Amino acid sequence: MLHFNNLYIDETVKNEELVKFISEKISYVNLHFVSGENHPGDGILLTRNRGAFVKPCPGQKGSVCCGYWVVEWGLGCPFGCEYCIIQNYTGAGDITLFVNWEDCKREIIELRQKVKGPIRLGTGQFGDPMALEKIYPLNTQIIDWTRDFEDFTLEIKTKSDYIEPILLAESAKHVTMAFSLNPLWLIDKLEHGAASLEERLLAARKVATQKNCSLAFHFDPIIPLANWQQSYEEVFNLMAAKLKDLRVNWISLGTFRFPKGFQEYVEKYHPDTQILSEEFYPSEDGKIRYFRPFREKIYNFAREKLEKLFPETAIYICMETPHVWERLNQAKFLSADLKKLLDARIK
Amino acid sequence: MTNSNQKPQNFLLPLDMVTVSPALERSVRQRGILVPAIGCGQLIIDGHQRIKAALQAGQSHVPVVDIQGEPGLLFAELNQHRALQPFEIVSVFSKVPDSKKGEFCLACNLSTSPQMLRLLDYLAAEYQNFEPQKFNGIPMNIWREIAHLKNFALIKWFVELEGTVSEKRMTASLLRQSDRKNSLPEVIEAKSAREAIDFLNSLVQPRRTAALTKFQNCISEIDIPSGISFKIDQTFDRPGMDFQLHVTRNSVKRFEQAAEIAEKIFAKVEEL
Ligand code: SF4
Repeated sequence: MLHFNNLYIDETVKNEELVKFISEKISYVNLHFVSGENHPGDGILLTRNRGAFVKPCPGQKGSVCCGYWVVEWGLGCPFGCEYCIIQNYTGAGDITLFVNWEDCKREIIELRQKVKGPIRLGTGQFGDPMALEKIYPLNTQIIDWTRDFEDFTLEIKTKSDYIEPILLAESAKHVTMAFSLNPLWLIDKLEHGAASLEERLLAARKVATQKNCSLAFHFDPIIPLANWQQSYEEVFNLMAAKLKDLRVNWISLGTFRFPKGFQEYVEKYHPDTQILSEEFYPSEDGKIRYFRPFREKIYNFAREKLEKLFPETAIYICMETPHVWERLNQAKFLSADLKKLLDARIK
Repeated sequence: MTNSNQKPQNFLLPLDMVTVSPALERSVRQRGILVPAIGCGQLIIDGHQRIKAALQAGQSHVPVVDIQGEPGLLFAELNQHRALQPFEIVSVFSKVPDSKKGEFCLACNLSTSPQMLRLLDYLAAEYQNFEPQKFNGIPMNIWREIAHLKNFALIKWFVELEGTVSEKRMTASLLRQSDRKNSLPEVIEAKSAREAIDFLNSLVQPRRTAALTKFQNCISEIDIPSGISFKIDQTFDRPGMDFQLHVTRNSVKRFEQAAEIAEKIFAKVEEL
């Protein structure tokens, strides 16, 4: 059971059924009634989303973006990955959940009506959605709301192995179950609370075979510590062995990057961390990244291995600068091209 | 709060490190102290410069307003309007009780991280052994960068290093990065901040240093005609090169020469 020091409930939602449900599923020490969306800190806040639930992915300025849609259901995550930017934004461990799901449902339906052509919608942008699903079963709901949508996939991205909601869904053909992967020793070292590599791959196999849903994998962030080539190659081979004959929609690659000020945050919470031991330089978009030629080396390595093992799968690079795209493809590569590449996978 | 005319004897700051401007000395000599100093019991906590000027002018008694409270915290509060000098911070820090040290740091806009507290403890014990000008010439944001260093010998080396403030800032940042990489040696031989920067760069940025060296070697092998100059992004974030050509009626072929040079460099420096 997830435990919090404080449960904050926005006055405007205190009578909602969902609030009652969540309150019963967690344990907490103090209960406070508050007003507004601002998290007072050290706990979980249940409130309304006063803005939009469905948004275009905030693919940063200066990065090549894939035309993805995201559901902003709140912010925060019970896992504690050392490299996590969300933990940095929220104050480690704090969670905000929006409970006005009726608005979320309406916006998702409107999105399908408004947008022509394929839609890829994801819930994994603001925290690990499956890590919270037991107390906040929004993905279960979205799977149901969208089950008759054409040309649509809901991507549920996780580092957990919790797949119950997909297994129980009436239909999950429109779901892309996505797992973020890293070498096992990095998972043990950095992804505190998340499932092991084997558990994630087993869960992937299970949803794909039992529910016929598509799979996706994200190597993001790739953290090239000692023997990184060997460590990542082992993961690629393990994937190929465990996922034989299954359809993998896409695999994304992204090297570790962070905004200014993040290093101080990591050092405060993880003083012995190794993740800052590489060379980092600011990119044009303000993010700090590994030495650009080194990033290219990593992408070339991973792409070459993965393309051999998964020839049918779209392998793309996430949140990278156009310079890197250009050099990897030996041609100009634009956001629209990436969108096309990924859209083609859900047709 | 009481006013009195006192013979001051105890000072929160070491009076020998307090500097008095000639203008203040002249003013105090002519008119005496116009704005009273502030004391806390028998301890002077504010107005050290005025008192030093008065003493230098042979005045033994000065006006003092007495207030109550924790002297170190009052000092920080009374000086909110200015950036404190490093010697002021560390000498006061050493007199603040342990239970109030965090509060003092926050009042001085410093972090209360274990690293910062460890650094201040060390400096409080050592600052009088440093050359005052060098010690006080390091702004607090640079001290913040080097607070993580556990090796005090390196801190001592850093303080004494010859260099401008911006060179020292760069050195401090590289020391920090090198520490993150666990590549910091026990001793650094460099005598100046410039030397230190070169040395630390090679430790902290081996990939960039290697690429730059490759580029520089390549350039030195190519005969570049006058009228052609070019630049690269020194961090290699932006690949490629920016060329600048000056073309006259008689030197239009510089375009082709520039293209040839670019081909040669690209062939040798794949990082570009
Ligand atoms: S699972 Fe994702 S959101 Fe959660 S801590 Fe790890 S990186 Fe952050």
